[in-house]
Amino acid sequence: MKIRKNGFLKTGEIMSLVLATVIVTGFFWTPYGTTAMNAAEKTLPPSLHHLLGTDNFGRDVFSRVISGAGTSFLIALGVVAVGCIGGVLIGSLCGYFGGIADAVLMRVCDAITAFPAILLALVVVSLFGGGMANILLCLGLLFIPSFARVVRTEVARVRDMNYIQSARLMGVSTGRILLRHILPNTFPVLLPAVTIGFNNAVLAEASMSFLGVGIQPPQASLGSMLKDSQTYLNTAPWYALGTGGMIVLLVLAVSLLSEGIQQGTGRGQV
Amino acid sequence: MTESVLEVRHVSSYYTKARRLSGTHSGFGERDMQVLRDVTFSIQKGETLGLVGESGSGKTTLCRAVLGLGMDYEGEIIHHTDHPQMVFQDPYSSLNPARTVGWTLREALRAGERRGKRASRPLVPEILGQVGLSEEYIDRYPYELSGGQRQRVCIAAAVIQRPQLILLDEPVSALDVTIQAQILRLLVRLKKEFGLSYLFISHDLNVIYQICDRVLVMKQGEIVESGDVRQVYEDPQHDYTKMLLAAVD
Ligand SMILES: Nc1ncnc2c1ncn2[C@@H]1O[C@H](COP(=O)(O)OP(=O)(O)O)[C@@H](O)[C@H]1O
Ligand SMILES: [Mg+2]
Repeated sequence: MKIRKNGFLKTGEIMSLVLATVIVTGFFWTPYGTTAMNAAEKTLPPSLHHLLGTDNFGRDVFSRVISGAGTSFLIALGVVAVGCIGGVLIGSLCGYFGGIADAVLMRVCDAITAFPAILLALVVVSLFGGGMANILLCLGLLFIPSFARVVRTEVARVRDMNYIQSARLMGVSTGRILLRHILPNTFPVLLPAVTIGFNNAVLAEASMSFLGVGIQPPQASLGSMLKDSQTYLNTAPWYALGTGGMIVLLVLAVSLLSEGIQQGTGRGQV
Repeated sequence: MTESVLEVRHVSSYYTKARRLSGTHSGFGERDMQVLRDVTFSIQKGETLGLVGESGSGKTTLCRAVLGLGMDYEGEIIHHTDHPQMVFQDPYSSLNPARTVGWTLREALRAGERRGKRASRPLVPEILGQVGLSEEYIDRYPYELSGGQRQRVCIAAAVIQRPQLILLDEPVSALDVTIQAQILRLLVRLKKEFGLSYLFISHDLNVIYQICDRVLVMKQGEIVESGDVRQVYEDPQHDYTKMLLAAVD
């Protein structure tokens, strides 16, 4: 597939690249320890030593924002991976074969989508406990319907095209027709779905952690940090600003990518 | 005695309206629509058999029945060759938009090889040359091609598998007259080169006259006249054929 360059794509690429570098670096190294407290450096405003100041325990906010973003990033990635793989599997089989299984599965998807994902996730996580793996799996499963739906629609549209009939005449196996002939045609709708899904996952995880059913201390995610920072809004506003800013940047970068991809793949082109 | 590559005997076919509206009570008063009525013909080796008829007369349906593309029928269809190929009328939905010309041709080549047609296979650049496209088209996507160029690629994809029979469903109807003539010449040349047989479909008797040996005239799913193309063209027997001829002039 070809994606034509455009302003959205370029900006999104640069932003994502910078953020990804910072986040990946953060897995191995941060300017200060993320949990290292320092009584002498409590609630310092931003400076050259502490780019985003320090919190009430004297911890470097910049270091914590980076590592929190890392947690959020990993969860969002995992959620999208689970949702996308599950959605592609279900969507392409339903779209290609149709029938009763298709009708039933799509109704189930409708039912799941009818509830806000975050609400369902809250219920599940409060039943089975928080923690990274549970949140990831739970949100991932809840994200499957949205992917399944777009894939199913595309596969059902492409299934009876002349070029697929040609492939059948050639004697190409059904599996290969699905994987190699049909699936690439779903990429133009799948890519935006992946980026939008990523953003929704970042926000869902942040919301859950903010509500206290997500990532548990001492591990930090952007959501749990945003909750902490509320308490010190008066004494250390840079904590909230830094954390909130990171969420905005992350979502913005991926949104730009998404918009760029959609414009660059020329939707509506034959 | 010539050998035939395809025999179609007393084939009838229906479209079921109820099937299309599954889940609703539409069976009452909605009768199945018959599209093919007792169609019988055969195609000889090396022959170009024309099939002419108005739009909606059942020509595409006949192809779908012959090739087993999800069309139920009554009667007998006997293939004396394996894997006949088809070139479709609409060149815009005949090539995978997500794949390059080269990929599509390699996929067709691979399919042919899996059937043991390894010997004397034409290679991708060679077959492109055969259909009048240069090697630089290998990396092109379908949206970068004109209708005529797409149709050339479709023809190449069919031929590269070394079939003996190709069904051409109005392969030039969507093209300009000058491009039509080029494609027709190409088809004639490929037929000689690769020893092909064609079922050539058109709603235009003039085009049929240029390329076919024999012709079948189809009206509402029924073969109403058949015979040597010159004979039918010069001395039509059925009123419907006369009407088609009048439309040509
Ligand atoms: N999928 C379908 N369901 C119901 N009727 C169809 C379908 N496809 C074609 N028909 C009908 O069958 C008849 C023959 O169609 P077709 O074989 O496409 O004709 P032609 O190729 O000669 O133009 C037409 O009346 C058409 O409306
Ligand atoms: Mg037709």
